[in-house]
Amino acid sequence: MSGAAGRLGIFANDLIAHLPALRRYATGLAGRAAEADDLVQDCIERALRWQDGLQQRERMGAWLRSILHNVFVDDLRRRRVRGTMVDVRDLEDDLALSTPPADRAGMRDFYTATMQLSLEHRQILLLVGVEGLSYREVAAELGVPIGTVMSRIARARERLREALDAPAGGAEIVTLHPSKGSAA
Amino acid sequence: MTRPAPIAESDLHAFIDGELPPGRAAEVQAALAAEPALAARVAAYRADQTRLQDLFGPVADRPLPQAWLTRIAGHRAPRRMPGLRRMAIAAALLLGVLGGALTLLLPGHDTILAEAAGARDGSLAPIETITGRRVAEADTDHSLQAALGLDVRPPDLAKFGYRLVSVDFYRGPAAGLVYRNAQSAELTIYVRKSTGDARFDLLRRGKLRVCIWQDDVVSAVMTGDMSAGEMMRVASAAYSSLNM
Repeated sequence: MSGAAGRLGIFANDLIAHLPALRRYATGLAGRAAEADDLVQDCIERALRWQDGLQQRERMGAWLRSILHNVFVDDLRRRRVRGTMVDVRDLEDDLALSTPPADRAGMRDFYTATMQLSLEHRQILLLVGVEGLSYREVAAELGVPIGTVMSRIARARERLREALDAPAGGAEIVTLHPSKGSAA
Repeated sequence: MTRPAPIAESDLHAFIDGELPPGRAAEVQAALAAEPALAARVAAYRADQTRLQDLFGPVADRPLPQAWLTRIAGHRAPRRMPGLRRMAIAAALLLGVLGGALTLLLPGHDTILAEAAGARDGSLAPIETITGRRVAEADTDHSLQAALGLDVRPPDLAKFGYRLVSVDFYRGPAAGLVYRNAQSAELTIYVRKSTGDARFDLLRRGKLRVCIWQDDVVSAVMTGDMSAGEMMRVASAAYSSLNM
């Protein structure tokens, strides 16, 4: 830094640069834009507070996703008590705005199937398929062997296929994070 | 020639994800050609992956909430700065928020964006251009600093495959850095002194992504034909090396 007051620091600059992708990942995990934005906001607070915890600048994406994932899991644990129901119709406002109307029904089914996956499976599909991480990067980020990444991605894709082949009978309401007892 | 090992479940997925060595990938490719059922499965997995990208990908193109940027830009203030300066920055940020709101209300009056678009499409004529071999020979850093009155230098974007091919100087003063990659795709960075409001936007204009990155010293508008993700990486690297 050249000492000019008010320039964004490197950390702040990098953090902002990661936000769009982090928000996309959060939306994939949580399923809803509003909830995802709350997660990202929480994640920003923690990242600012713990910025000394980031050892290498290149690892910021993984570091932020890990923080966000923890925030999300904590939230889930708290909410599991009351159970969270999401009206699928709201999601069209959230996510399908860019989808041509003809594809909306298909996109809705796909969305529903994605949200029926376990968090672990949805997470790995997002990391590999949307965030574009290599197996090695995923293994490092999740702290699991690369073989686990490979078997998990295979299972996750298969589960998603099964969910798509057996849609939930056109139900308008899905339970995003089934509470104990109601899990399929 | 040895017979290829049977195709395992994990081979299929590693094939889809480009994780197989070329030899093994070719074996999987051959197996897919020979077994339509296998090919259909791979096609279905791939289609699912594309839908997942279609579903969540656009989220990364939405403008970021101004509150996030304000929060991050303001975070350093308490530790390093005396009260008065902190208040000045808070005021500047507040103005930035108001400015951002005004920008939303008056989409036709986004000056920096209009300038950068003019520089990109040629409707804004440069008063001077450094191009060709002179880019490497001339002291581009010095010219840029002298012209803009800013401690900036053209970012090295070689790791993204982009090479600086010309520098245009405009009235303002402002500068346009033109980069090109091996496929001749153009990435431009329009730089000038900031108007004072912290700002960060990622926009889409036809095929182009436009990234506006502005603190209270420098305004930079990066424009290129690339994915939102790539634009974020390039923009971040460009911004951090503009002044280092």
